[in-house]
Amino acid sequence: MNVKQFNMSENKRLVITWFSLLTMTLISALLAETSSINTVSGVFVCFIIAMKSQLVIDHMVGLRWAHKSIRRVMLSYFYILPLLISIGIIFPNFIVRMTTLGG
Amino acid sequence: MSTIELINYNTDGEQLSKHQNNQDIIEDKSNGIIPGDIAIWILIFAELFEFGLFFIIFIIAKAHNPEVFSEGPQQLDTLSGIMNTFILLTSSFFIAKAVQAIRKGRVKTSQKWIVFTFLAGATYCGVKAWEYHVNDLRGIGIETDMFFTIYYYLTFNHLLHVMFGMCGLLWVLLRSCFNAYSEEKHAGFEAAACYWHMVDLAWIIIFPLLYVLA
Repeated sequence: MNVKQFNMSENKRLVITWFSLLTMTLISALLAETSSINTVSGVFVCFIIAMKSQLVIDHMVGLRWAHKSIRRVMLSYFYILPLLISIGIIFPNFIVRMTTLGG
Repeated sequence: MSTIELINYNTDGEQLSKHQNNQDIIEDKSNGIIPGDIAIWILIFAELFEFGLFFIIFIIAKAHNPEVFSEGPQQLDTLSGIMNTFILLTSSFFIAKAVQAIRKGRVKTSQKWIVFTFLAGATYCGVKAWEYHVNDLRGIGIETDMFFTIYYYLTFNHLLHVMFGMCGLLWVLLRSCFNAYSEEKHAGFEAAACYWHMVDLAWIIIFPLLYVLA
């Protein structure tokens, strides 16, 4: 994989990234249009959010070859938020309990 | 006086940028370069923090009002959301091409890609205005319910960021016409590109949150 990635031109990598992002968006949209979102598909959509964000951060912004701390902060943000959204989907009652005053 | 030259390569061994006397970029020898400058990253983190707070508010409000947040996305025009996602992802591709071009010293090519990015941003604004118009025709407004209050806050706030990013692109294009950027000196150019990517990244979360996860 590393060898393949190494040989890939910068231009080709951008096009593949762009195409992958569009495909993942279509998958999310299809899920929304063809069926009602349940826990599994909801978590899958959150996984797609994290994947899309990583592609943009690494290949569009180019942070993969830049300052490690900035990349870490950016990736953490786009891993933690989908995780929180997933928790909201899987355990909504837990969120309600945690955010109710005087309950 | 001696000249210090810093050359940045990607994993393909292609030269990304060349900087003299370290005036253009900040480099941490152990970690690599900072695209744009540190100021733009502070702004980007501040903006993402603001968006993050509202994403958390959305999650909490959804847990407390599951019916309202289940019906809300079904009343929205999903096609507008998909179109805007495609437009912003494509604009990110355009601006990445612009940065690629300026790093190779192709000023005219980079200007062409900036114009494409700006046009994509303008198209996004047009689609968003159409979506608000359709909502208005359906009797949906900011006070319809809690879902739409948060929907309007998030999407309008994001729209303002897109417009701000477009102003940045215009400024970069204007400066580029006066030969402000070159293969060696393009930190301002990269900063505007990073901001534009942040706008796209915020939408990557907004789209599924509002349109998909019913």
